[in-house]
Amino acid sequence: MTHQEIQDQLSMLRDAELPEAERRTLSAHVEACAECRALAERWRLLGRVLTQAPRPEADEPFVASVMARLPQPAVARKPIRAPWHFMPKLALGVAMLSLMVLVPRTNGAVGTESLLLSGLPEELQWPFVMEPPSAEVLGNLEEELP
Amino acid sequence: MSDPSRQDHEVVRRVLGGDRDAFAELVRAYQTRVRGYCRGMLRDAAEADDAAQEVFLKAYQGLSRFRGEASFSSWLYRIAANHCLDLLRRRGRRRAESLDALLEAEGEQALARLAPEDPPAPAEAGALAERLLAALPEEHRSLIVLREVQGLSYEELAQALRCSVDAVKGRLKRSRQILAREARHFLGQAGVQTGRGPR
Repeated sequence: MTHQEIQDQLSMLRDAELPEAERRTLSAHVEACAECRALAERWRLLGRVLTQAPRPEADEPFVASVMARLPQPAVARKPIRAPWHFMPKLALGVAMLSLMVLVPRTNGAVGTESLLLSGLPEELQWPFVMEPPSAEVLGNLEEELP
Repeated sequence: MSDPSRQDHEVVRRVLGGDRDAFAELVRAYQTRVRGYCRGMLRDAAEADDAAQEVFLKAYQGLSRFRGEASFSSWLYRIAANHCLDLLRRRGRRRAESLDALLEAEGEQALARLAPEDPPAPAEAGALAERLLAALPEEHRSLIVLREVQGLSYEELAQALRCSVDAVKGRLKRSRQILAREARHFLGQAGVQTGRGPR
């Protein structure tokens, strides 16, 4: 560390957080250098002056003044509702969703099946929800088609 | 002895639960620090007490936003710093008085009273400290008051300023350079060199 770098760091000599290795380096230089020793002493005195800046003493009327100015009511948090508060609404939602999905599908599937399969030979009339016809049936169908 | 930080959190929980009067415990515990910080920033005792009241009111109104990640005192200092800086910006009173003005007014007697071999009496030191702080730009004054007057650690400063410890070190170094420049008559010629901007 150069002499100037040492001088830049001298204000930190009073800091408790200064790493021990840096403190030793600074202290060794200050021991040997009259100019830096004088500057360190001035920093020490300056720090001492600043710590004597006016400090108000505890004052109960101050506390009372603050408390008198607090808004009413207190800043109480909105109570957190229990999770089961939402259960009835959730159940209703699920029920309505089920109705919307299942009812039209059931009715529509019956009508569409009847319409589409009505003109086909009996062996080909399989409902969509059942197993498809075997490869043999499909092969026969291919031969029958024009 | 129980941890003050945990005690503070417990009081905060009670206030948020609707126990409004519990807030008095926090005011009582931190009033000297908040009023001291405001005094260091604003200098005028009555104005500082008004500001400190506003700080506690803001803290009360914003208490539900205190998440407990920082200590309550750091959180309070943050509110105090923001409030005082706002006041000073609105007031537009920048660098109203420098140490040069002090020296001009009081001459070499002021320096003589501050000689290392003859430490100033507390009252004189207090008055000088106020003048010295008033000579600093607001942001730097805030940091110097928090560190040198209020005695916050690097970690507490980092919490109050919402920055890293490394950033605190950098800002503190810069603020001290400015302090040294303002106090050059106090620190002597070597102080002038130290105070000439970042290197």
